[in-house]
Amino acid sequence: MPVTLVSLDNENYVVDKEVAERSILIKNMLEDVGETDSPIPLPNVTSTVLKKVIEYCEHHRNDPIQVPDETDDPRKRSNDIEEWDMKFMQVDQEMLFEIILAANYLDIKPLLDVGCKTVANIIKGKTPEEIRKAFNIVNDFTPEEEAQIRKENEWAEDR
Amino acid sequence: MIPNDPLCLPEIQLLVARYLEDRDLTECIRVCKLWHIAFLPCLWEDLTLKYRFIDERPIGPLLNALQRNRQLVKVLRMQSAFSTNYAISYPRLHTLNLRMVDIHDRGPTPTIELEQEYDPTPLIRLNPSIVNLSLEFIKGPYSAPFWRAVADLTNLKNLEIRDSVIEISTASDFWGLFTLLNKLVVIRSSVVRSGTIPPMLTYPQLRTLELDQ
Repeated sequence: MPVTLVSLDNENYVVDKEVAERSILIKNMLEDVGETDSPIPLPNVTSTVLKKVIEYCEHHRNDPIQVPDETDDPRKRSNDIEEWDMKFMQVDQEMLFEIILAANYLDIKPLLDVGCKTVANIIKGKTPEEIRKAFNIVNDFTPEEEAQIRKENEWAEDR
Repeated sequence: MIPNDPLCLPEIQLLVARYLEDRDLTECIRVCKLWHIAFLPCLWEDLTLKYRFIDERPIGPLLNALQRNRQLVKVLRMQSAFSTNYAISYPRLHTLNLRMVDIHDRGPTPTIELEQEYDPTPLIRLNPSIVNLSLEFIKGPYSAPFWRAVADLTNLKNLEIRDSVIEISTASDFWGLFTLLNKLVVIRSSVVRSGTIPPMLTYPQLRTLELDQ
């Protein structure tokens, strides 16, 4: 049975139920209301972003539900993004951030993870100045403050 | 920073930080003040202090930062015959790995003064929240009070001892210390006056026991 999703700017998208249910938020909503024809409003997501999110959910419609892994090591790898996802994430930074926010709101854990991995990969190996450039951030530290922070955290650089 | 930056949301910062190494986090905390506040806890919750950062640069920026950020530290690995200046209370500390380095094996570091300065007992005393404790090369004049302090850690569940001399006044004192542990590992260590394990003691919660002698 198809489900109608409505974006912030009032665009309607008709998708299969199993596609919509990649979003745990929507899945829970559908379980709460039971069988329904009424459209589901998603007031936090614009149509450009929703289109993109639906594209992801269509592609991953048959993926097994992700089990949270209980590994002891809290640090994880970010170089295991599959090829399709990698291409999917080749968007400008604003869109990348929008996708992350939407995945967080809609509770689509695998998409949120891929988004965060992508951000981590942009950060990796960069100096603070390069990170600022990549994310359009204004440096509000004085050179003295920055040097001080560096000294205080030297211990972490070669563990 | 652009509006709607997800890196301003704590739950997203944590997710991103999980994929970063410490050396990346040290860059992140210098990007801007917002990022500093966001990523500093991720960097400091698991602290590894090798002795060249402690003994060779005695008092300085690191010590100040430790004092200031002590409530962020949950895991602390210290590798040193360190000075008591580093006996700091970390209110949320649950795991401490302490590897003492023999003063005589340390090579030419002439600034080392009194042996009593390297007593790790105050550090243990100041951190009753420790659940997991791993100790290496604990020996020397501070040994007896040190083990008393370990015995007084009321939250301690897992204890690993390697290459150490355990000095305690009687055998039952030593084996009685650890009746509430889930895990006890003693490797390449000796117990002064240990005798045999007193038969009356039980270890109701012990799930892992590793002894090599």
